[in-house]
This record gives sequence, structure tokens and C-alpha cells, in this order.
Amino acid sequence: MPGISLDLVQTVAIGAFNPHIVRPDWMIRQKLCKAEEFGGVEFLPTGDDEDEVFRFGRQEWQVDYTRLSVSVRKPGSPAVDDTGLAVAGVIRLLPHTPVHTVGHNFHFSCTTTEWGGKPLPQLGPNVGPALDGREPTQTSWSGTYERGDGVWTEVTADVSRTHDIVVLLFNHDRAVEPEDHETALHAAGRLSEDWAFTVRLLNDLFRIEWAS
Amino acid sequence: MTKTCPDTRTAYRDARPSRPARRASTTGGRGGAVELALFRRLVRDLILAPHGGREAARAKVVGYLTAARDPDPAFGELLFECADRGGPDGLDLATDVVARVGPAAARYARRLLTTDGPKWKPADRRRRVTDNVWYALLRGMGQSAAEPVDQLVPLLSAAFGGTVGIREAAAHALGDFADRGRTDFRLAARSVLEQMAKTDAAATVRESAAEVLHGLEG
Repeated sequence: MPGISLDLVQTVAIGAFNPHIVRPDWMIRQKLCKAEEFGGVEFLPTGDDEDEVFRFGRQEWQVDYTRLSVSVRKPGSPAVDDTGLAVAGVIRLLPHTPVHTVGHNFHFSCTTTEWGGKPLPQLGPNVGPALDGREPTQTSWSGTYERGDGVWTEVTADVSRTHDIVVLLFNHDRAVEPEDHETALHAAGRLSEDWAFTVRLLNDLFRIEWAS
Repeated sequence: MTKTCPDTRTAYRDARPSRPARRASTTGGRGGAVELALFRRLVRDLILAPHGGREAARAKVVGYLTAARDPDPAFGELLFECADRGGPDGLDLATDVVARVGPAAARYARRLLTTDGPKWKPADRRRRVTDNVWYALLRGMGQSAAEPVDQLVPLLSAAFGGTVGIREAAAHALGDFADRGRTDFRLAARSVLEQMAKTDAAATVRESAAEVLHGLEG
């Protein structure tokens, strides 16, 4: 039976990006992506007219005036699909673009059957029964860990009894002073470090041993 | 000490949880990123379900879309996943789901039209994913119980202003639409198909429209 799966690796940088600049042709001109990959570029439909969403190979790029994100769905491994390096490439080319925060996200999911008896964080014994003992259809737990040096990790575990699905979301973010270009670059390049922290938390919190 | 950073948990502005941009540390709770992750899993389960398990998996996806307060981000996920990674049955799966949640799908189509429509270039030959997204959306809508008036704007816009792929999809969707419902709407759909069959700039669109008309007459 398949176990928990890594569904998404994503890097999000909050900052004053310009969707009219960060575009595939610009990225190729700046040698951020290889020209021969251009044939593989596709603009994707978006529900927001200020967004530009396109894909280079496996990477989905989303740019608007407040954020830049690069995502890979069903990634092989974060070591291969390093979305942080892609974001760092853009930040490097735009030293005058203020960046406030850089975050790395890892999303996992499995069915409740696949989850089995693994532990889930609880709110504690003080939460009593409600509505004549009815169980909630969806329960979510979220915890934030301060890792030092301005790095925060938020873990969210969500159990949907309606859909028999457990999702785990890990968000690691680093605040950046808007004029501190080097720190923004450094933050975008820390995906593998955050992945290692995610693997450790998977084990510590949920007794999940992630085979890399 | 509290965490005071903007939210980097999701790429989607629409899906951001309604919390202040500068937040306290541990009270983020459930937000759009969780909902999208959950829904993405439901869609993957539908795509990977064996034939015998598809009905149950489809019911979960339809149930989610029907119950969601703002189903638009989920519609985007469904259509993108099925169009891009759904394998040979992906478009049929998405079309089936859209057909069952008709009114909400028609609302989504109208909203997507306002953002994606201006990017259409009628001479574009293929934008694989986007054309496939519109294919599933238009065909599902054409087969749904959504109000015909709500369907007409996206259908007509796609028929006359879409890329080549979107116009082909619109021809088929107009066929679905003309096959049912009120007589005046059916006649309108036929009339549009006749015009497409005669005047569209792309031979493939003219052929598709003629084929659909032939099917309606048969």
C-alpha cells in the first residue's frame, strides 16, 4: 500500500515583483533558463488578471506584484527539484526589488487508512465533547517552531473525515530586510536545509521515516 | 516572541487565509493552502482510481466543489491537474465533474473568461494545457444543468474569440448544448455552429463545427 506522498515543493518570495518583467523570454535572455527549453514553456490560465502563470519544464512559475513563487508538483525529490535555486536566480538578477520574506513549502498527503495509527497532535484533554458528542468533520492542528536566525517553521496537520484524507503542510520562512539583497538570496538557497528539517519533523511529530 | 512575517504558505493570493499579513505565531489555523492540498489529493485519487472506484472518487470531488464557499481555486486545480497530468482519461474525468456541478462551473467559466480571455490569440495553434482546460470546462458546462443564459457568454466568446483549440472545444460544447434544453437556445447554438462551419479561419474548426452539425442532424 502506498504511504504518504510528497505532493508539492514550492518556494514563495514576498516582494515587489513585476509580472511584466519576470517572463519566460526575459529569463532566457538573462540565461536563467536555457533557450532550448523555450519550446517547453506554456502560459497557464489564471483566475487573476494581475497574475502571470507559466511553466518551464516541471516548474510552475507564478508572478504578481506582491509575490513570486515556483512550484513543482509531485517532485522527484527536493534535491532534484530545487525551486529555491530558481527563485534565487531571479532575486540575483533584480537587486533593487525589495523582498520581505522567502518561504519554502513541502506538502504531503495520504488517506486516513494509509495514515493508520500514526500519531496526530491533539489540542489536549481540556477540549470536551461538543454538539452531543459529534466528531468534527475536519480537524486541523498547526504549530510554529522558531529555529533561530529569523527562521520559522509552521507545521499544519489536517484530517478530513469527510474525505478520509490527511494533509501535512510544512512552511519554513525567513524574514528579510527589504534592502538586504544578500539575505534574500541566502534565504532562497536554503531549500535543502529546510527539507532536512522537514524530514526530521516528520519523524519527531508523526513517526514517519522518510526514505530519501 | 511572535512571528511577524507575511504569509509564504501559498502561491495563490485567492487562497490565502483571511488572517492579517503580520500574524502571531501559532494561530494560523486552516487556510487556503490546506484546502487546496486536500482537494489536490482528491483529484489525484480520482485520476488514479480504477474504473470500479471512479464513481466514489468522483462523488468526493463533486461533493467538495458543491459544498465549497469559494470553489474557484478548486476548479482551477481540478482542470489543471486533469488537463496536464490526468493521462488519457483526464479530460473526460474533468468534463464529467464539471457537468455535475453545472451552475458553479458556469460561474467559474465566466470569471476565467475575464482573466484568460484577453490573452487569447485566435491564430494560436496549440496551448496544450490551457486549451485542454477550456475543452473540459466548456464541454462539461454544455452537458450540465446550468442555466443556458449563464453558459452562452463563455460558449460564444470561445466560439468567436478563442484560440484554434478553444474554438474546436466550443464547437463540441455547442453540440452538447444544442442537444438539449429550450428550443430557442438550441436554435441559437445551431446557428453559431453553422456560422463557424462556414466562416472560421481555421480548417480544423470548420471541420469540427460541420461534424457536430452533422451529428445533431443525424
